[in-house]
Amino acid sequence: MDEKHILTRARRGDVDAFEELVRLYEKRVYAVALRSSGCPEDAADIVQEVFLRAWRSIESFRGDSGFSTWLFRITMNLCVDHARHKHAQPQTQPIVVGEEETERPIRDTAPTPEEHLDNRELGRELAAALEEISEEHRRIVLLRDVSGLSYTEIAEILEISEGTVKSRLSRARIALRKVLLRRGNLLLSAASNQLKGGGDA
Amino acid sequence: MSDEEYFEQLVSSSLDGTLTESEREKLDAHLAECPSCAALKQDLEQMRALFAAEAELPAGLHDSIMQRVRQEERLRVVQPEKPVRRLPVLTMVAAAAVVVLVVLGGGLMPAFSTVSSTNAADTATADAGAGSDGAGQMIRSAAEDAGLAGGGEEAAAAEESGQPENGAVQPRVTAPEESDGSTAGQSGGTQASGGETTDAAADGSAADGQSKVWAGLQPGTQAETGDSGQNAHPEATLADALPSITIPDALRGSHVAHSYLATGGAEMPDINGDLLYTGDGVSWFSLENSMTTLQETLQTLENAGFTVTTLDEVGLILDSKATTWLLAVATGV
Repeated sequence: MDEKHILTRARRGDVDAFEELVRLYEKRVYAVALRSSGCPEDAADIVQEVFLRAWRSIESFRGDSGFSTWLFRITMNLCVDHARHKHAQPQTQPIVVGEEETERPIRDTAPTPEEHLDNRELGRELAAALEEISEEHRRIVLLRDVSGLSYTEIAEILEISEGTVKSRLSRARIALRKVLLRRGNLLLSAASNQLKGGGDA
Repeated sequence: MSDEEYFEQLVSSSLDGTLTESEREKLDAHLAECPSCAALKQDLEQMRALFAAEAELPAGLHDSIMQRVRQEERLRVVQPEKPVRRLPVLTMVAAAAVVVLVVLGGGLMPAFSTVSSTNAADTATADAGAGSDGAGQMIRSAAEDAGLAGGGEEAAAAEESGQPENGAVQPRVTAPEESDGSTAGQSGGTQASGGETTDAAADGSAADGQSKVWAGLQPGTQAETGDSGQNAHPEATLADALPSITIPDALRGSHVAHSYLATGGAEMPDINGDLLYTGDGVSWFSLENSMTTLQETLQTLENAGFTVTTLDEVGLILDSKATTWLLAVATGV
């Protein structure tokens, strides 16, 4: 069954059809939420909220834009809300590592380039780096590099031209690279090392 | 655009496979002689790999999503106990006004002109019910449909969502067989109210039943009044459905994430929360705002024979950031 048909049924209130849509998109929505929040638990909350809101308003979705465009717009709004809310929280955050959960202050010194970036910290580090770039840049990086949307879809979500998507994406990636280099989170290429040594980062 | 920016953009676009043939040739030639851009390309590719890594969907998340959706569906189609009657519009308006007064309760300042309601999804639900013989039973529909609902915030929310919908809204039609054997459901009439009321639910700030504010109870809060008599669509079964719930003074103005009213059960089940107040056959509990607590509690109530509806417009401040939610269990109503 194609997505359009599923969508039509879901808009009529067919929960099973909606579940098909959830299956199609949950992984990508989760990836965006995880990279944005840096915390699997928060990401799971965001994903649930995204689909609940989509369900509540799906009958008003008219298909002028793609469903993915519509869904990721909701996702981005919730991720941004979540990040804002998080900023207002105390300066410690639970770090969820598989089954164990520990509490420690947010790291205030960057790891050295030699320090191996543990997989368990990857999510947190990426989220922390994303927080250091502008919201405009963060959104576009999440939409392209995490959710894998096309330039056209991103242009529609952000209401900008595709040309702007291209240039903004380039600037956003470069800004993020700079942060990641500073935080020691990229296994630097030789040339990057030289640049960094030369004070570029 | 400087040369540097131009090639940086080409490097970035090369990751997305959007370069034209001539751009690709230019970039390749440039990369061969520019270590800085070659390093950029390598780093950007590595960044993309970082983003792609380790984002497996947690086990059980899909089921949790669907559990919430189905829970929502159950709340959405709370059944009327009596067959639906159609009343003349004026009678319905009057009935709704009376009901709102009851809900407001004693000692409350008259607030008709300062009510603002922003829950888009529920407004849509209410409209869908009002446009036909069928009727949802949600209490919040009373205030909204009595013409008290403000349209301003809904419109604003829709605008923020970036997807204005100008055409007619298609109300949800819930066929009886689709709602767990329930019989009436919401019937969808056709109606052509502003699409903005439903689309607003897509916005991050408007949906979830958490952003409704009883503006009239908040000094200084922006007031909105109903914008036209056309919005007055009280539901026929409203008077039957609304128990006389009066929020205790002590709880008035509380910030809560959600509020629910459980009615119809005979015996109070164990509620995993703090009992705040009991009076007039209604017990008011404060519960931790977590999905688990919410789902378990609603399930417990359902098992005990209660019907749960959302409880709004009674002087609470619905606040998605609140750490608790409020539950009213009426055993004697």
